[in-house]
Order: sequence, then C-alpha cells, then structure tokens
Amino acid sequence: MQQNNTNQGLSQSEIYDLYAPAVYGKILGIVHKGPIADKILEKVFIDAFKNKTAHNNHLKTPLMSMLNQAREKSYKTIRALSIFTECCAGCSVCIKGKK
Amino acid sequence: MSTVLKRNNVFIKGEGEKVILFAHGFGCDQNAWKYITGAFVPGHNLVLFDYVGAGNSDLSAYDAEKYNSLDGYANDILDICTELKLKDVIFIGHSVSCMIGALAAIKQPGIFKKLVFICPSPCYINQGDYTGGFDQETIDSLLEVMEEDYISWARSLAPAIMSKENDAGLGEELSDSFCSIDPVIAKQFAKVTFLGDNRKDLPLVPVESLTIQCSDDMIAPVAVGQYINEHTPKNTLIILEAFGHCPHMSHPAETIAAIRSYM
Repeated sequence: MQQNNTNQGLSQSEIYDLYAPAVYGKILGIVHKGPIADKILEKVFIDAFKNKTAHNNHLKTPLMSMLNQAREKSYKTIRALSIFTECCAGCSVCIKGKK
Repeated sequence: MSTVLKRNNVFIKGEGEKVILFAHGFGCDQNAWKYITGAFVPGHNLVLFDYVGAGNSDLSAYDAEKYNSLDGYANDILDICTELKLKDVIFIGHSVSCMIGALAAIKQPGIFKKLVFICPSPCYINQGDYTGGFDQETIDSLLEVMEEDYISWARSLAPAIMSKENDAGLGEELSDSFCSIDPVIAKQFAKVTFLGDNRKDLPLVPVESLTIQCSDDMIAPVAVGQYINEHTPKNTLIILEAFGHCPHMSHPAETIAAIRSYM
C-alpha cells in the first residue's frame, strides 16, 4: 500500500484496524452474507498490502481506494455467482418463468 | 453393468427404435431433463447419463488430464454409444454439451443422425467481432470465485437472487440442485467450458443440427445462436420466447414443441 499523509507510519495491523470496519460494511452491504464478505475483505487488504490497490489520485485517501476495491470485488463476486447459478440446473430466470 | 455405463451412470428408458441421447450441461446432471423426457418416451429409447463429476457418476473415474478438454467428455459419449451399440442417434445437448456432442459427431459421424443444441455456445468470451456474451475479466472472476467455497456461497445467495420473483419452494429447488456436482471437478469443467473456443469446429459438424436459443439468456445470447447457425452446415435456428439458460426446465412445453417440430 502506498503511504501518504493519512496512514504514514502505521503498521499493517493498525491500518487494518483503522479501515476494516468501514470496508467490511461496504462489502456486506452488497453481498449480504458474512462468509462471502469475510473473504472479499481479506482479498481487499491483501491487494492493498501488496500495493495492488492504486490510489495515485491525490484526491483519494487509502480508505476511498479500498472502498472502491471492495465495491468492485463485491459486484464481481455477485456477478460470478450469478453466472454459476444460472448454469446450475434451474437458475433464477429460468425457474421463475416455468410454464 | 459395464464400466462405461457405471462410470457415466447411464440410464435407459422408453420404448421404440429411435434413440435419443440426452447430455446435460455444466453444473447439472441427468435430472435436468426430467421435465421433457416424458414427452419423448413413446416411440423412443431415451439414454440419459451423468458426466464424470456430476450426479451419480463414478468420481474415481475422473482423470484431470483426460478431462482437460471437451474431447475427453466427447470420448465418453462415444464410449456410451459403442457400449450400447447405438446408431442413428438423435443427440440433445444443453449448454456446453452441445459442443461436446458436435465434437463426438465429428469424430464418429456414423453414430449420429441429428444434433439438437439447447442454448449452445462455441465460445463464451467476446473476441473481435464475435459476441460470446462475456469479457475475459468476467470469466476470470468466475474462475477466481470457484477457488473459494463457491457452492455454499451460491446456495446461500440463491434465495436472494430469486426472492423478488420466486417463491421459497423454488429457492429450495435451486439450492438442492447445487449438490449434484463435485466442486473440485466442476472447477476444471468450468475452465474447459468457459475458456474453450470451438468456433473452428462448427463447419466440420457432419450431420444436420438444430440450434434452440432463448430470447434472453445471460450465458448464451441470441447472437451466439445466430453465429452457430451461420457457421454450421445444415443448421436450423429456433429462437424461443423462453428466457434464461435452461428452457428445458423453465419452459419445457415450448422446448418440447421446438424439438418435435425438428424431429
């Protein structure tokens, strides 16, 4: 994770403690399921700590960047699960249209 | 029961000389055909089976190398046909099974009389002018999610996905359906399915075929059906009013009518 004025000098565990509640709330608001949210949260922070979370925009704080990542990963997960569900013998769309 | 028939949990029913072979799609098993098989029992011998990894197939027969391409699954279909001495088979495949059936027919055209493709796709990823329905990133996300406990996740989300327009009973039916595949095998099957590109095989299909496409299908859009129709010799395209990716389950009457009109 890039350091800037908002988290400079903080350890990874301190950054986690600082941002995780807000990021988790964002994720849970999209996926609605704790086990799924847990995994996405883990991925968001792994990416952040590996410097994969880009926040070069000076107007973005690390939290904003992680919230963006959280939103993106959450929707991708939902989309992926929808595809899987659709393929699996009776997706939402096909069952609802049963004649 | 022979090894082949046990491996693929082959089930035969019906009466008659004409043979219809039903091949289920990704994430399903032979139970997926339960809404339409009854219509074809009179006058036909129906052969149903589970791919290795699905339903009540023999999981010990799974070979990651063999099933690293659709060819492995096509060879299993040919094994079944050989074992049962089937000829002039009408093959009805759903989703990825359509291309598996096409490959089997290319390998041994003498076995098949007609192919019926329900919601087929030769390639799921958009490439150049070709519309497959998905971008690479979406498929990568799907495969990434399948590294997790995706079946439980999908099961837990199914009622939420369906809740607005379906009743709880249908949600339970959907949840139960997730139990029919082995999660590890399904991951590799998904990779083979969604990363594959069988467009080059379409012109080689040696027998006449029917493409049945739904009017609104997030997995295989209408454009895919049109592509198959344009690139496959002796192919007929029927676009159903039905929507979704499993019309044989959701709209069995319309699906049966389309198949009958062709047969």
